[in-house]
Amino acid sequence: MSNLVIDAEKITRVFPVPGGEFTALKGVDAKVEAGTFCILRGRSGSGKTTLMNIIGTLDDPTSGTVSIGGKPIKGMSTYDREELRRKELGFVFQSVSLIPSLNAFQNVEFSMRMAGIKPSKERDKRVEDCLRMVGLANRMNHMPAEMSGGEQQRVAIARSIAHSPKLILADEPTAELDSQMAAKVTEIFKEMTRKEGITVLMTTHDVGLMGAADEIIELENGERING
Amino acid sequence: MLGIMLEKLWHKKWMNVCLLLGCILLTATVVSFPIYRTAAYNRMLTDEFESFIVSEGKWPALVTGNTSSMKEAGGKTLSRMEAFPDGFYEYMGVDKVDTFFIMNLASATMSSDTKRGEAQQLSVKLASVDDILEHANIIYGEPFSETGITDDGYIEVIVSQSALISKGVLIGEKFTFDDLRQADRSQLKVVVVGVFDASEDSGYFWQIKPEKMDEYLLCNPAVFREKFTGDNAGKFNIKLTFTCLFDYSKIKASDVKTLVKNTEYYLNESPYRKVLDKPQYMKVIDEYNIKVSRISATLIILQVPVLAMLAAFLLMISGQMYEMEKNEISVIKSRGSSSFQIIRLYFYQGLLITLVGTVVGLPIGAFFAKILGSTRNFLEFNFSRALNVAYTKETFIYALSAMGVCLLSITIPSIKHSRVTIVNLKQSKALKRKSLWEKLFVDILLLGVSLYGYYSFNKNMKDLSNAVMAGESLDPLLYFSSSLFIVGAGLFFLRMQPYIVKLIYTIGKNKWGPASHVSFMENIKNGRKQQLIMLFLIMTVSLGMYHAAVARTILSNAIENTEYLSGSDVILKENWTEIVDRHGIYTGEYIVPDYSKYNTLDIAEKFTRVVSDEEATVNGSSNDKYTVHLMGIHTKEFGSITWVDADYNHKHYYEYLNELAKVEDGILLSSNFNTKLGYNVGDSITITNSKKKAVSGKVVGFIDYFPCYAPVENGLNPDGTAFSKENYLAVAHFDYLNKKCGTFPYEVWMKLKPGASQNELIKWIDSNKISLKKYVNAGDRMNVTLEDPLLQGTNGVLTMGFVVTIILCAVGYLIYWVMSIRERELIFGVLRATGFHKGEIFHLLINEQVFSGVFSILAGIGIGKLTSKMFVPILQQAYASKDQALPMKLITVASDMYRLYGVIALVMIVSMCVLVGILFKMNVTKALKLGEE
Repeated sequence: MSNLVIDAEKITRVFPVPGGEFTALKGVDAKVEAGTFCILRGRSGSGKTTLMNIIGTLDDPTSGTVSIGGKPIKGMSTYDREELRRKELGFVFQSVSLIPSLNAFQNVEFSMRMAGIKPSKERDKRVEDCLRMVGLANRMNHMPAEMSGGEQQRVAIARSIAHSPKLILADEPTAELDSQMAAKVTEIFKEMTRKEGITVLMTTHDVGLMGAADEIIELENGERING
Repeated sequence: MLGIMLEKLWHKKWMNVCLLLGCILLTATVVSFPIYRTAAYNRMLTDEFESFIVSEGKWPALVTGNTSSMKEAGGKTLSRMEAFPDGFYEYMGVDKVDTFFIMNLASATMSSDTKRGEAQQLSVKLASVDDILEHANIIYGEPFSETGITDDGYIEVIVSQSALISKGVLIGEKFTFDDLRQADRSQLKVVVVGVFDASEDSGYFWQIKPEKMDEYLLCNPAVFREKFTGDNAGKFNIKLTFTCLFDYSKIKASDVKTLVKNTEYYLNESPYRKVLDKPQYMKVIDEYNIKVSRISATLIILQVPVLAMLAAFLLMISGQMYEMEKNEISVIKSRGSSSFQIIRLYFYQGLLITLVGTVVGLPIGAFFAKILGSTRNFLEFNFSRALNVAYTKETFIYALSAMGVCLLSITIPSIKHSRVTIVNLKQSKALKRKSLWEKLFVDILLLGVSLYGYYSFNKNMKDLSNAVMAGESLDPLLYFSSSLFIVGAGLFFLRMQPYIVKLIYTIGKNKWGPASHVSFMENIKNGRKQQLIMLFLIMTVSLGMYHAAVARTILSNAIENTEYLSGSDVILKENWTEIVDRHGIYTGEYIVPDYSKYNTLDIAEKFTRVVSDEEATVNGSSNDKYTVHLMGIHTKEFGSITWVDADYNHKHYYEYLNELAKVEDGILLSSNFNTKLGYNVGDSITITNSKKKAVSGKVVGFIDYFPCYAPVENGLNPDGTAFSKENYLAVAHFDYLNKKCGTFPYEVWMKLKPGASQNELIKWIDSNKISLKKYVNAGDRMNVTLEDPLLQGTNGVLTMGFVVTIILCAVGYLIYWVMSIRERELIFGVLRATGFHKGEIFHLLINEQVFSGVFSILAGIGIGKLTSKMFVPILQQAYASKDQALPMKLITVASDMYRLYGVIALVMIVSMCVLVGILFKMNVTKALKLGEE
């Protein structure tokens, strides 16, 4: 039995546009095993975000099938998808996505609340551990507005792992960071796959980060050009 | 520039529509005031004149002068007087109705040429009245001819009916004056050619009624002038009286000042000053002016909070708009625009909005004025007697100032924002700390000031009503105290609100789901952003409640008082003829009018006879006398016609009547007989009526309030100080009084059938040829009460203020929430992406609405109730009149509150629907994309 966290087959996604159709993905296959740090690369408009959205259950493919952790997405109700997202997926977005009225600790804790983990000493400890992992243990009580972009992004990463999801989807998390910080963030992801056995799918067009990847999915004009 | 501006306007069209709405409402509210005032004052002035006609039976707008020529050679005085009327109308700028101009020679004796046996020497005045034939009917004989003199040299004269009777002259009879001669010393001879009476359409022309002209022989005015004035004036002493009647209905409120000034010129400076009498209309105008100053100040004071809220609304919206345009402004700035250029851009934009607002606001203001004039009660209108509204110069001055305020409110925030550059924009994105007012304890300060005001006004309540009675307007501080209290309490609530939310959060800390958690944290951390809109909500609700209570209380008390003082629907008192004995001395007996005729008055449901003698007396302990209002009633009939609300007496009014009914010689007394004069139940009391006839009876009880009875009478001394006087009342049985004191002219009190019209009653009175001594119609009085500009204006301003604040509040609330959702679109997208259910987003928003909206509304209700309880009893003193008989009570009507709650609920539901609509349209992936670009 395979241990595929992401199992996407022949994904095609067609968007209606004024005066015709635009095919963003053309029969893309993506299979990622548990504990893999996988980078999804490609130029702007290559279909990265479309594929991310489909894997993240935010969008449906026009044709093809997707299973996350062995569960086929097709036919799943909106509510069940939302449950899947809050319990088994973690998201890191390109721009700042922290809740501004919560401090770093509360933001991280929030994903655990969402996943239905009851308040307890263990939960608090987990939050602290996650923040320590991203190197922000000393800034737990700071509000997002009081932190730099890189720090905020690291809090977002901590948040995405706190509830121990199977899969983390990170869409251009390094786009707004300098190369040093980008390398650091990538390092954190890598470490998570080792320590926690989490699967990470990260999009980027930064070639310098490719070396850290266990696997690379490369897209061009909606087609996979490697693997 | 214009292009950028229009594009900007279009881009933020909803904000600009809101700004425009604010400008329109502000302009309309501001201009409605002078428009209403002018129209209401015009109506009030006309009403004052008309009530003068009703009460005095005279034309109110007239000037009278009289002088004697004193045999002045050349008759300069006379000719000057002749010129007076025309000059007067022109100088005063009034419309002539009639000029009554009478000249007469001094009284002189004349003898009949026929030397009739019993004819004696007759003492008469030869006179002439200008334009007499236009205002008189010749009822016997002929008018004087055009030449006015017979061929044989007799001056033709006409006489009144009263002269015909008292002087016993005959038509065609010729007379020669005994001593009075013509200028050439020839005999002065007259012939009576006719008898005149006032014509039906002569109106108020006859300043000396023909009935009173029993000494006058009226000749052709041309003859009079030829024979006795001009060159001949030196030989006669001519008395001259003239009255100029002008049209009061054409006098507008704006003419009053000129009218007074010109009148004063005539009375004090003009050559005519010695011959003119002080005209009656000056008193009418004095009365009017007192009312005007009181109303004017009161209405302004009541409008201030609404205007302040309007200005605050504009500030808030434009502030929000700049908040949205912050990025744009900072970009423009970093590209080298100066602050001045940015301010100028916003200034032009504001000017455009303000101009449109003013143009639209003016007609809406006129409409508002109409509504003001049609308000019958809080949020109740009656358009049957609408005001005639018109723009005046004043209106445009007000409109201009409204424009100024709008423009400033819109532009001022741009000054702050014009300094922002990208750098400090980023710096300022940190969370907001405590507001300035919180640090300065403005709430505590306002509460302190208003409570001090409350305390000191409460202590001096009596002075307050005295001052008002003396014609002073509502003390602004009094009203401001209540407004400050509302603002202060509102701010204080805002200070407490985060702690309340925190408390609720802490209580259920472990039970809150993710949605509740976020909303609690959002409110605790970011709640201060909502303070302005929350204050708006609180003020709308509490001002609404307070104003409803004020309007209700003032009006209900006035209505109840009028009903109470009217006694019953109609009171009639006929003129009774007193019987004279052989020597012509009044006997005290009367010809009693037929009472059975009232059975033919179909519109009366019930009626009863009531003796009402206001001049009865009772002896005090030490030879002092007290005036008593003595009434004689049929208890059962009286009770079925009259009513006193159960709250006012210790027992129900009917129980007092029942106690009286049980004792034949029983007398029911007003309570002050007990408290001031020491009577007790069971005592015997002797009362002397105005005919000096005494009646003794047994005291059966003491009552505080009885129909028509005012326990204390308030009024003003001639020196302007207020006084209050105890009134005493004694009620006995009608039959008992009749038996002991003889017949006394009674009144008939009646209850009309529902829907009975006054015209029918008047028709009945006319057809029965009843001559009335007293006529009280509760309906008429009620109309006077309801149309009192002070009451009506108060109701109107409060109602309109409420409607305007509700609109502002609804718009403001909606804008705030739309903005707040738009701002957080990205966060909502993130939440949805990470698996937040749609229901959870609603849950979150509903929570936020509860924390800000519902909490504010609840606070507003509490503050409104408290303010009403505290300040309405003081404020209503400002509306005290000298007729106030009943104790005032605070009145809140449940339906007002329901209406208020209904409107607010509607606002909340509508904004909720809009928010839900926005959320549904929001696409998760799109929201996230938004953040990527």
